[in-house]
Amino acid sequence: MNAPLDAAVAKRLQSELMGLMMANLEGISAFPQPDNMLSWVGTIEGASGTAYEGLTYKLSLKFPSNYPFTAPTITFDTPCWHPNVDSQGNICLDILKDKWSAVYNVQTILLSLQTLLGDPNTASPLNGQAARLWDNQDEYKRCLLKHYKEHQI
Amino acid sequence: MDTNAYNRCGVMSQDALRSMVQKIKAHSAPNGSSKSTSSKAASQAVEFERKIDMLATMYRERLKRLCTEIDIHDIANPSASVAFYAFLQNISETHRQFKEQALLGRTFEHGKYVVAISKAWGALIYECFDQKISEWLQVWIHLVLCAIVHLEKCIPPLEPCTDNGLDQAVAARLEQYHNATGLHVLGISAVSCDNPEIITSFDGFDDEDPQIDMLERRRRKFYRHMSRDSRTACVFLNDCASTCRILVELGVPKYTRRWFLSAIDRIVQSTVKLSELQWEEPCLEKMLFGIRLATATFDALLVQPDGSFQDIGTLVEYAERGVLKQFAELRIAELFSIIIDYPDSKAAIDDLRMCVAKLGNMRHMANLLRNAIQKRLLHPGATTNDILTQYISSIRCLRLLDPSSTVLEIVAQPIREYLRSREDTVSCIVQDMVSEESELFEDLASGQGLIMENGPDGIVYDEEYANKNWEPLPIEAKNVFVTAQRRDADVLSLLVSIYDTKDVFVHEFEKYLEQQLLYCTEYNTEREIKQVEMMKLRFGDHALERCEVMLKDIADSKRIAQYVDETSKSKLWDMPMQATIVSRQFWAGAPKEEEYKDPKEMAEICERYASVYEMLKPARKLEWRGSQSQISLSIELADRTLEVTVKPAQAAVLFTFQEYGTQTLADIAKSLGCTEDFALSRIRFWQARGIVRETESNTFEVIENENKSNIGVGAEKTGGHDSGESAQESNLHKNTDEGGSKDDRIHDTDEDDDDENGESAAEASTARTEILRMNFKYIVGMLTNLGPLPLDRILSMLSMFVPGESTTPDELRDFLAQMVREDQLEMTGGMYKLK
Repeated sequence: MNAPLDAAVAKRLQSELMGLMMANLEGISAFPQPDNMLSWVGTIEGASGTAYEGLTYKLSLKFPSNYPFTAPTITFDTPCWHPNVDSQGNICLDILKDKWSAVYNVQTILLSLQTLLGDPNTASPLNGQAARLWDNQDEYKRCLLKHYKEHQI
Repeated sequence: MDTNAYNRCGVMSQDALRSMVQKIKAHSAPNGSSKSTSSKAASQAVEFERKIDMLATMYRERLKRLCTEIDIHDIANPSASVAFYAFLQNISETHRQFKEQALLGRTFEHGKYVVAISKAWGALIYECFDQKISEWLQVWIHLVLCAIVHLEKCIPPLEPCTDNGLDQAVAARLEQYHNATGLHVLGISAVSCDNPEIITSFDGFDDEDPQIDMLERRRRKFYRHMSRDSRTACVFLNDCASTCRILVELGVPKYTRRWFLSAIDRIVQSTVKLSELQWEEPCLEKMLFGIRLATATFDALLVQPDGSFQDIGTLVEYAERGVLKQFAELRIAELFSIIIDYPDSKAAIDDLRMCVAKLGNMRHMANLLRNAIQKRLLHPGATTNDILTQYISSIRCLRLLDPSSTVLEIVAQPIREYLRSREDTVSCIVQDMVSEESELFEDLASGQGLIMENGPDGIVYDEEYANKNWEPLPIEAKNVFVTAQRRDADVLSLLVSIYDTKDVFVHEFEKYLEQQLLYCTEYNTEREIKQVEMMKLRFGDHALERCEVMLKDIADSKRIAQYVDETSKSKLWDMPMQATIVSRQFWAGAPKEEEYKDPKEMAEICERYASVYEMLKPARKLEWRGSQSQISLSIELADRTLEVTVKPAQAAVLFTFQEYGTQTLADIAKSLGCTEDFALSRIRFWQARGIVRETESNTFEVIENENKSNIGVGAEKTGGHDSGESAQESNLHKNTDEGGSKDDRIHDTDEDDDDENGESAAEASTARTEILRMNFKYIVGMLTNLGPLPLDRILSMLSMFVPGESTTPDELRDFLAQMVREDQLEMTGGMYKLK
């Protein structure tokens, strides 16, 4: 069962949810799992003008019980072929690790991830192949679509 | 192209050879070569070897020069073909001279020498035919095959005609082939290609398009030349025949054979590639036919088949095998997606079945499909409904592919295991089963016999022995256990058998039925009765006893309601309530009721109802279940009137404002006899709907005038409010259980109906819709992220995450239906999803 949910955490997440729902941002969305406020499912779409345009990715967001003082754990559920995402869906993004701050919220995280898709950090890749191909956008897109199609239902 | 010159040349070279052989024979006979001493023979052999070496050095230079001199830019160009052909002719001529010179002066044991000569020649060719030339040869053979396929496709065979420029020898050979194989090989018929359609179909290609690979571009160019007229086609065929002859004559069948085969592989590959993703029409037969024709024609053109292809059968068989193999690979790789498209992709399944039957690689197919499913389907990103749909399609497809169900069993096992690990599988199946447009519903309605529980070992022996059409299982079935029961079961039975017991489904159905019955108005249970009857056919009468009781409770409630109605008329009071009275033993427990006092208006109605009931059933008492009831209010405020359907607890909070216009949270909690948290969440509900506002911390008042400023509202508010909230109660669903006397305890649910305050209803409902529109953002959020959801899940999540909570199911259903009409949502199988 879930750990008892701190009222402050619940309140914070509730208000983040409301903020996110009302902001209604293009290509970004998230919602708590039924019966568990600490576990959310997120959806991001690749921004237009990037290789990821038109692709949709599901994420899982797990909030720690002392959120927002510790960063949430975020992974890709849909396999994502990207220089900074490994084959297990783990993401290498500074604000989710050492640069985390309590002023960030679900909305800013999702926006950062959407930006990351179109603007990877190829200097410290988790997926070497993707990082190498990044400079050749045509080939990159071809590989990306192949990978995406393979894992789609 | 001067084919006649070639033919003359070929004939001459053969004649020359023959006369030479005769000369040699004439020479050797009188000398009695067989009696010559061994030392003489040995020295002759050494001498001969030396001579061959010398010749080879000489000819190596010549051949190399020939090979380097030839420079063909594009082999598909007719002029290039001429040049290439001339080159081959030169090689042939050189060969002849080489042989002649090598044999010059030889008078006996020529057989041995001939072998040595052809070996030396082979080595030379091997050395001089570099990458470039063998590449050309392969491309050329490929082009020939493609062209034949193409011509066969475009040109209807016409009456035989001799005046088409076809070489007599070639025509004879083709005709021979036609008689032997029954294949109508091109060339016997006069070729007429004035058909403008065909020509333009190739003129339309953009040769510079970088997407088209080199080979394809050449092929198209070639077609274009080929398609002009019959003359060209015949010249082309003559050309092919001559070139083939040279190739064989070159004396290196080992190499040419490899080229032929790789050219056939190529055309097979490109032909099979054309049927990629073409699942709606059968492709296999058509493809086999085309390839068979092409290779047959080509085979016919090889004027002197020298036995090089014996070990692989004829070229035709080789090509057919290649098509089957590659096509099967293609379709097996696509199988997962084909299943998604089923039944539109039925033709593809039929094609694949033919391939698999011929190749016998069922196990291979099963394993690949199983891997694809594991990779693409069984991960957290897929919804349970998607997995179920794919499983159902797989069942239908694989049964078509393999009636023994062996493949299905191999493929289904991981799906079944994975489904078992998902929590919502049973509820998804039940939802699907009862929604009338689904396939499972048809299965259920077909009433195909009882579903057996799996026995201890899951085998039913009797059936297997009794089956007259029994056939042994295919070899692939080794280690895969398919029971006859599993093999013949319909989809629904297969789904139910995911679990070891069918009880989970019956329980889930009970839950579903309970929800349906509790929210049905007017005691109308026709649909539910039908569902229970169908369930009985599949799951047995015994399993559905609880459901029977539930239905009976509703029927009883209806009678009681009528009785209460009549009694109330005789006593001259109104009974604005409908109650559903349920037996506690047979209905799943409702959540624990939170404690609060009903306002006296509501309590009075409940009491009256209970008193009539107790008259009817003396030993029983009713316990109301407020949390499962609904109440319709009409709220009259100073400037507006609202119609709402809410929970009794919410209504109770609003009722307290009727007495005091402004009150603190503590006051409200006290007058309701409940906790502050309980009261607060209900106040938030009204706050969200713009009826109550918080003036200062924990102090609340009713908003009488929406548009007026806050100042001075206080005075008006109380009065206006009082008159307004002499609210009518309607549609009060209440559900109580008064911890009864005696042993018989009953659960009761009740509903009540009252007239509506007709006027301004429309306005009020618009206000409600506005609120729901706010909620709609949340609904979009949950559907985007959690996938399709049924009504009750949407409802429960709204109440969990949206401040102010609570929408009634009916209201939400209406609203969602409207969204469906507005094309924002889609509803299938009881699940809502985004467009």
